[in-house]
Amino acid sequence: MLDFLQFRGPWDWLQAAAWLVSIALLGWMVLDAIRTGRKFNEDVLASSQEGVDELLQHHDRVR
Amino acid sequence: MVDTTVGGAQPTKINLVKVLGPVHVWALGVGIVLVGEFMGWNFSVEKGGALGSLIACWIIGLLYTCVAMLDSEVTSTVAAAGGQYTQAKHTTGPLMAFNVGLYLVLAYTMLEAADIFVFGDLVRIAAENLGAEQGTVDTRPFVLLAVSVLAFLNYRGVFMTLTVNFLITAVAFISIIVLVIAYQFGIGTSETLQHGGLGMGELPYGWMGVLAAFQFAIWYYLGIEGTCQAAEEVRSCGRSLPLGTMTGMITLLIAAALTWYVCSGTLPWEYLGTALAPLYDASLMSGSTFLIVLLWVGTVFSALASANGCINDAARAWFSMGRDRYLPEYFAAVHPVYRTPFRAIIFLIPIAAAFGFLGLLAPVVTFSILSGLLGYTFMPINMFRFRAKWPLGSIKRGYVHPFHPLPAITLLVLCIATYVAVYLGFGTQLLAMMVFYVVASIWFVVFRYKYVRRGDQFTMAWPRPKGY
Repeated sequence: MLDFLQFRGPWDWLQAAAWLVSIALLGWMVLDAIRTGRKFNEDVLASSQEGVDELLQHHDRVR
Repeated sequence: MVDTTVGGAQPTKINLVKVLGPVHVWALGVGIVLVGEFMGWNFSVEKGGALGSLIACWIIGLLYTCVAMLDSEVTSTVAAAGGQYTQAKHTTGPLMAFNVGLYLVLAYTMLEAADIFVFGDLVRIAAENLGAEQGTVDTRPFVLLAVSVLAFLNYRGVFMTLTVNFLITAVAFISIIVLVIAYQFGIGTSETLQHGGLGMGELPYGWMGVLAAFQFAIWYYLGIEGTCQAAEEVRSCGRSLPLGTMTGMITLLIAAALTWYVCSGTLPWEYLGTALAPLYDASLMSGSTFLIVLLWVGTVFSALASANGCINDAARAWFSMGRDRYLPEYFAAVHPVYRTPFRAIIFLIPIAAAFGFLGLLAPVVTFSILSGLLGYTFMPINMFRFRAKWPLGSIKRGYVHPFHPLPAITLLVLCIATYVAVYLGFGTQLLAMMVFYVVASIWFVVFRYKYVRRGDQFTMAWPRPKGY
C-alpha cells in the first residue's frame, strides 16, 4: 500500500517532486482564494460588468 | 478597467483587465488547436485513406473558416468574456445561452483533460526511452503537475498566461515547419517523402470514407473559436479579435496542410490511421536525433498550450454564466490583485484532473468535439438573428464578414454533414450527449432560470435591437 514511498531511482524522485509541487500550488491557490474572500466584500468581488469597446463608445447605451 | 479606490480603502468595482493584443488572441486560438496537428487528425486517414483525409481537411477547413468569419463579426461588437454564450444571450435568449455556455465549458474542460493526459503519457514515454523500467513510471503526478502549474499561471494573470502560450505555441508550430523543410530539402536526413509509393492517391473506402473522415478532420481546427473568450481582456476588441482570429485560422490551415504533407509522405496510410503521435513518428523515420527531440518538445508544448488555453476559456465561460446568475454568483468573482476569474479557475481544476487521471482519451475527446459541433451549429442561427436585430449600419462592427448569408448557410450544411459522420462513428455517444443537454436544459428552466438577471444581464453599449 505504501509502495510509493519506496524510491527505486531518479524517476521516483521526479514523481514525488511532481506530487509535492502540484499540492503546493493547488494549496496556495485555495488558501489565497479563501483569504481574498474574507478580505473583500462579495459585492465588490462580483462587481465586474461586460466590457465596452472604444468602437462603440459614441453609441447610446441600451440601458 | 473601471475600478475605483476611495482613500486607500477597498475598490468599489473590480473588472477583468484589458492588457491583451492580437498576438495573445492568436496564441489563445492556435494554442488550443495545434495539439490536433500532433495527434488525432490522423484517425481520419483510417476512415478515408490519406487522400480522403486531405479532402476532409479542406472541407472542414472551410467549415472553420466560416466559424472564424462569423465569430469575428459578432465578437468584434461584443467586448465581453463568455464568447458565444454572451452572443447567444443577446441574439437568442436565456435557454440557448445556457446551453451554449455549457457546450463551451464542457468542450474546453474535456479537451484540457485529454491534453494533460497526453502530457503525462509523453513524460512516461520519455522516461522509458531514457532507461526507466517499463510500467514503473506513474503518469498521474505529471498529469496533476501540468494542470496545477497551468492553473497557477491562469490564476496569477491573463497577460503572462497568454504570453507563455504564444512562446510554446510558436515553438510547436516552428517544429512542424522544420520537419517539413528537413524532409523536403534533405537537411539532416537522407529519407525522402514518398507520397506516390505509399499509395496516397486512392480513396480506399470511396466517398463514404471521406464523409466518415469529417469527424476526425475536426481535430485540425477544434478550438479556434475560443479566441472570443478574450474579448473582455483585449485592448481594442473590435480590431484585435478579428485580426487574431483570422491570422490564427490562416496559421492552422498552413499547419494542417504541412502536417498532412509530411506525415502522408513518410508513413504508410494503414499505420498513419492508427498512430498515436503521427508527427513524432514522422520524425522517428528521419533517423535524426535533433528532429526526434524537436518534435517531442513540439508535441509536449502543443499539449501544454492547448490545456493552458482551455483553462483560460472554460473559466471565462463559467465566470460569465455566474455573472448573469445562470450559475451561482459565487463564480462571478474577479481577483482584486490578479484580475482573473479565480474561483471559476479553481472550480474546474478537479474536474479536468479527474478525467485526466481516468485516461479515457477517446470518449473525453469525443465529448469535446460533439460539444464544439453543437456550438458551431448555433453560429449560423446566431448570425441570422444578429444581422436581423442589428443590421449593418445600426451598430459599429470591427469586422464585417463578406458574402452574407453564404458563409452561414455553408456552415450549417457542413455541420449537418459532420453530424452524419459523427453518427456513423459515435452514434451512441451523440445520442447520450443530446440526452444530457436536454436534461440540463430542463434543470435550468425548472430550477435555475428564476435566479437569472433578466434585464441586468445586458450591460453592453449597444443600441436597441430592431423591432424592440
